[in-house]
Amino acid sequence: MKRFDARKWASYVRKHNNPLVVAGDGCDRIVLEGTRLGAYAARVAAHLGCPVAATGNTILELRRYDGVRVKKMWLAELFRFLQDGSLEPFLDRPPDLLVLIGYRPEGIHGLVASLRNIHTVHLGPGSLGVADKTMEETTLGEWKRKLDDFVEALSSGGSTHDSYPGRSTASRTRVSGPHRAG
Amino acid sequence: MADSPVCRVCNQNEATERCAVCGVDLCDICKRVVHSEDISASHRVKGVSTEGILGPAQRKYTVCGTCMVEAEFFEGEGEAARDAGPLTPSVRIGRLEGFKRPRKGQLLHKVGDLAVDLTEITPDIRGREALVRQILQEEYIETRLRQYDTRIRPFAGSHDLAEWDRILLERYRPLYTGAALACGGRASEDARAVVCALETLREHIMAAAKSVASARELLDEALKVFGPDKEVELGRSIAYKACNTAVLTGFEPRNLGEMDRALEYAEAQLIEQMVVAAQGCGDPVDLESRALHLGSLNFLASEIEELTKICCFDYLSTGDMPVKEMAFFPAVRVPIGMGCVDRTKPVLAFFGDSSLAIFYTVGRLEEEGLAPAMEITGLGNAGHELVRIYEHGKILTSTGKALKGIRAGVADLIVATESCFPVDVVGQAAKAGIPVLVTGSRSSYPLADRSGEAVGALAERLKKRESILVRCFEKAADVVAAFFKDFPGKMGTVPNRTVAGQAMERCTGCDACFHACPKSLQISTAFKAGDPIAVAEVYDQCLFCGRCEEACPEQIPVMDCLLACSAGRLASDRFRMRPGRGPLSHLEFRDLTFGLVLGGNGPGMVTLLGCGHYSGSDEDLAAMAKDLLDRNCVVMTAGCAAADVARSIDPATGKTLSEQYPSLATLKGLVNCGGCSADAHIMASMFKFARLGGGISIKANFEQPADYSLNRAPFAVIIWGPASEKMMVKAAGFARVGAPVILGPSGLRFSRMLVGNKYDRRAWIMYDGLTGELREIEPAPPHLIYPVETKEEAVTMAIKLCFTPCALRDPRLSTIDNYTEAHEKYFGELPDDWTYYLRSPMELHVMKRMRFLDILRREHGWEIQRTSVVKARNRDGNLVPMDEYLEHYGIKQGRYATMVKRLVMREAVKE
Repeated sequence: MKRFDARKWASYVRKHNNPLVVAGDGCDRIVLEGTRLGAYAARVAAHLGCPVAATGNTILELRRYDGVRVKKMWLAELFRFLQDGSLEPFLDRPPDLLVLIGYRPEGIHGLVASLRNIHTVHLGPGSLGVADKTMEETTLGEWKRKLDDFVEALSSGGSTHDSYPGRSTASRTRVSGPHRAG
Repeated sequence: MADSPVCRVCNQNEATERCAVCGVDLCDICKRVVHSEDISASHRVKGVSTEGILGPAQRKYTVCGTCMVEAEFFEGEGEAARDAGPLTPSVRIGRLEGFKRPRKGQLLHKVGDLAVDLTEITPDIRGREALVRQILQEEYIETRLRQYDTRIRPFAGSHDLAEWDRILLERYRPLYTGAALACGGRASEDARAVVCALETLREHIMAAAKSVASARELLDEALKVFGPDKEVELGRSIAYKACNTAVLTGFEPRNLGEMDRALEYAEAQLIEQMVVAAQGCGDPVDLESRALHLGSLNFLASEIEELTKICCFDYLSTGDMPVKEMAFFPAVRVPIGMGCVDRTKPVLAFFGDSSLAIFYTVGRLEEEGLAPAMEITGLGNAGHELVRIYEHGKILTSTGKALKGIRAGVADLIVATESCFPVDVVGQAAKAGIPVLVTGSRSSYPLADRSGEAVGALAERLKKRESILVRCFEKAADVVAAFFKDFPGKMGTVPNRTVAGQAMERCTGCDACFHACPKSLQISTAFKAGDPIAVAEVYDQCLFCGRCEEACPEQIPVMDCLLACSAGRLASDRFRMRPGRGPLSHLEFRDLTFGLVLGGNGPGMVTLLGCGHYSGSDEDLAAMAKDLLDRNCVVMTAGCAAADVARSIDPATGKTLSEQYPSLATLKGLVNCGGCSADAHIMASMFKFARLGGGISIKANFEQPADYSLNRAPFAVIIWGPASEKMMVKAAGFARVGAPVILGPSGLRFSRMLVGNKYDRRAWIMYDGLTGELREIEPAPPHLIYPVETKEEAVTMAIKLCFTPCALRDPRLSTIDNYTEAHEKYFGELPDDWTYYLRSPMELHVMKRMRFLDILRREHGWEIQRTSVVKARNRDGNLVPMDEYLEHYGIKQGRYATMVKRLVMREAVKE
């Protein structure tokens, strides 16, 4: 397994014209040192300027983030449409990259393997071998740091970061957190 | 003249002779006379054919035109035998006599004034003639036979029903999710499809084999005791007692002997699919068709098992009860949960799928007078079987959470048989200090077979906490009785809080447990924090699969830690439910057919099944059931799901769902049919629906009732927390007959879904049943087997799957209303495809009509005038008058339509 390099990952993702972030049920349930996994889905989408396909119940949380275009979608339908070349109304163009987050590997292993001409980046949890790029199985703390570094690399254009484990001090676009009721 | 036979070729002239090969009667005009020559040495003398000891060399035969073509004869009457040219082999006439299928027109049966050619409606009538004649006599009238191209296929093979399977698979194409797909490397799409379809077939074979074997074990036992003539009778309330069997075999078994015949058919079909799978190649569609066929066979086997249980083993059934008394029967008396067990008493727990172990053991304990002083319980399906024969039985957990029940140390002895869900009962029970007695011929645990030892010696082994294997059920029952007669005291060890605390301190935070956990629970975070609330939250979400313990490098007994820190939750784990009631009555279905299909007072009938393999403190199913019942659905359950549905108490009334809703197959009814095999009664209801609603024969006739159900019946199945491939084969069985299935929340673990594409409009077509014209329809139901991630998705999708293209106005209104309401409630927005299903503003709920018409105008560009739709936007994106919209889209209400071309009404009848 190649060592995670936030800058290279960011560069890889930015090469694609039509990325799509796909957020799964884990985004609602997993909390990494106080930060919900769904926040990373929103941040990645905001920095890439791409929409989020929110499966499970993740739409409820993700729509509260500013600067993120998000739509409730159904996972199996999404992959059916991608296989058939059908285009969902809220997508401008067919995606050429899926950034998957919040899905366990055994759940989407076969779906990802079935894709043709669409690259995939898996941001966890776990390691998805069939993805073009995937996180390793590490401690939760390590995983959070990698996600932070990846988001940083995206925000700075991926040009000023040292490779992991160093952190960049470049400024970054902040994605507003979810609006709180009240 | 009247008695002279008629020539079967021309059907006009008087027959004078008979074909020497096939036996058909022939007139002088239609007969052919041919010579054959035996050129063996015994007949050839100096090149001339002569008579030998075997008779004349030349023989003359009368044959029909067809036989003359098929056989190598020398033609011509009166021609001399030739003595030139190459030698030709002698012809043996009559080899195939008796084997050949009857010719067209040879076997006729009169229905009214219509002579039905049996060879046309049944591909191979040999050995089935009497059965087919009986079906025609009982099930068909002349008008119906004239209307449709009827097919009657008794003892159907997968190829007999492939026509329907292909129609389904063309619209709902397989979406493969399993690991097999990833192993194809650079293989072509076709090759990958074969690999995946084979994987699906193998899974279904394994699952169906379990059901067939279970039925065979029980039926054989019943045959030994009662003999083949023992009648199969479910009671006066049940009109169609064996639909799953009849639709495949052509008959409803009247006795155990006929049930044996039906099960033999299933066994033969299972073996055929095994042979196909073993070849490792094939056409993907054919392989998927065979997998669907196994789904139907699975329900046939389950039905045989259920009938045997009710007729021979006194399983609880409401078959003889008047319908008006069924609503509150059986009583809500079955305790569920570990908190309902009196641990001061000796506790016996059953685990596994064999009901014979329960039958013999409970009977023995009752004989010995031990039962009243004990707690007799069941884990998973065993519990559901137990409470249908033993009034004081209790259900501890679902099958998926069996490890929770075992490691909690509740039981003092576990009697285990084979289980569809692989659980290391012996190893896990040992950690809790509980001995296990494994019994039955199919149980496969790493234990030495001690069947030959004395009962007393075996009981002593158990008292020393040694697990044993005793194959014979009766002997195992004796051992259990001996164990409890001289009870050694509590055996199970309840997890200790102090010990658990010490274990948790060993946690290094490596998070191996997080990565192993199917639910990605943050176990180490909770352990290291030492926060009991955090640990309790993990307990609530835990599947109790044990993968965390296997992964932990420090060998922390994670499940023990969770149980020890959640003792209060165990104590409060106490609910009540009705035991399974068995089959559904004729009257219930008659009313349901009108209530759902015509009345449209609820979105549909939703069946809840599952193995408990999900997180959320077992409340998901109760929450789903409550939501669906509130929407006026009919909710049916069986197996482990039936207990989980009861895991909810209304704080206002203190009642469980079972106590709040009637046990009737009616709107807002909640029915528990029984254990895992009892879902055959639910499956049978699909066929009863077609029989009652459409007058369709359900004997050796599959496509018609399936076509009817898929396109008219608002049915859906939710399989929540499936733990094994057995649930996948059930899903296949339901899907094949038109009841779409939802799998969750771990549905993607299974290898194959059947997913439609609403944007592929070529897939959404039906034949107008009168004109044969192909019409575009709504994407309804949108999928056949679909995976979801959350219970909110499950409820919303279940309602959406109740859309049918032939729905009448009120049912369509109910489904649109509930679909849009659920989607907004759970996801905060309307679904983007609800407009596909709207045919008239009258299909919008009167309280929401103005709002939705406004949405149609503003967001979809429809032309609305007050409460009327003037123009609608069709699927091409064009704005057209409403009349034109309906002219080209959807099925006119009340119009007959079908997906099967040969079921389009015949021209002659229409005239």
